[in-house]
Amino acid sequence: MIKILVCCASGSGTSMLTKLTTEKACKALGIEATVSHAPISEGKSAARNYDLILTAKNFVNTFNGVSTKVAAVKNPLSVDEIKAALKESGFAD
Amino acid sequence: MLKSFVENKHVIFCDSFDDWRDAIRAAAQPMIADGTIDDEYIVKLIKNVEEWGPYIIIAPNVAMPHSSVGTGGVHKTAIGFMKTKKPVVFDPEDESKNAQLFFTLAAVDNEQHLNNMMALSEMLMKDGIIEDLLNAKTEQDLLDINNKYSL
Repeated sequence: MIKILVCCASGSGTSMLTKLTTEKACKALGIEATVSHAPISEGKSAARNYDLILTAKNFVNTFNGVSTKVAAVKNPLSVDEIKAALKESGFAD
Repeated sequence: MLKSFVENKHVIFCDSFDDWRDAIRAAAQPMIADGTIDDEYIVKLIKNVEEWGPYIIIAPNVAMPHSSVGTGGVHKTAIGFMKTKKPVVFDPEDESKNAQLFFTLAAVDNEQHLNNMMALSEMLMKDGIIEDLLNAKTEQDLLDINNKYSL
């Protein structure tokens, strides 16, 4: 079971949409995961409790210095893009 | 979902906007009209983009103006729809951040908001629907798309 945190500015729009897409991507890849979402303001301090952070490209730098893997998501509706991010981050073959 | 946009009168068709701020204001008007949101929320929607950039463009041609749940100026949970004839430019250097379809989020009730987001996500993931929405010109077109995709 891996833990994924999705972050956006508000924590209620883009990150929620990305969470729904990430759940689909995990299911398609057979990855057991819990996916949470949070505003960027809470993301950095919470990051160490997660295995992977997904966020928009312009927020990636916010996580500088955090040991958790961070992947940028360009299109929050693209299951394929998130599948690729999970593969690149080493969570799927 | 498109049917409920029409039934709730949360639909507006516009021509074009030179400034994305005006597009966000226009997209919010149907929800201003029935008290779902007030002007305070429009200020937040614009500030959100000024502060964080056009990350509200969730797919090519699709914008989702929103701010945090529990923010001021929101009185009901809903999504408003706007279609513009010409693309609205958010980043002059990045055409992938242009948008013609606007889904403006308003949320006070977390559970209802989650249901709205799930419906929006399901809808926008249907193959071909974004192209059909880009061709929509009337509320009837939205109802036809609603039926076509059994939404």
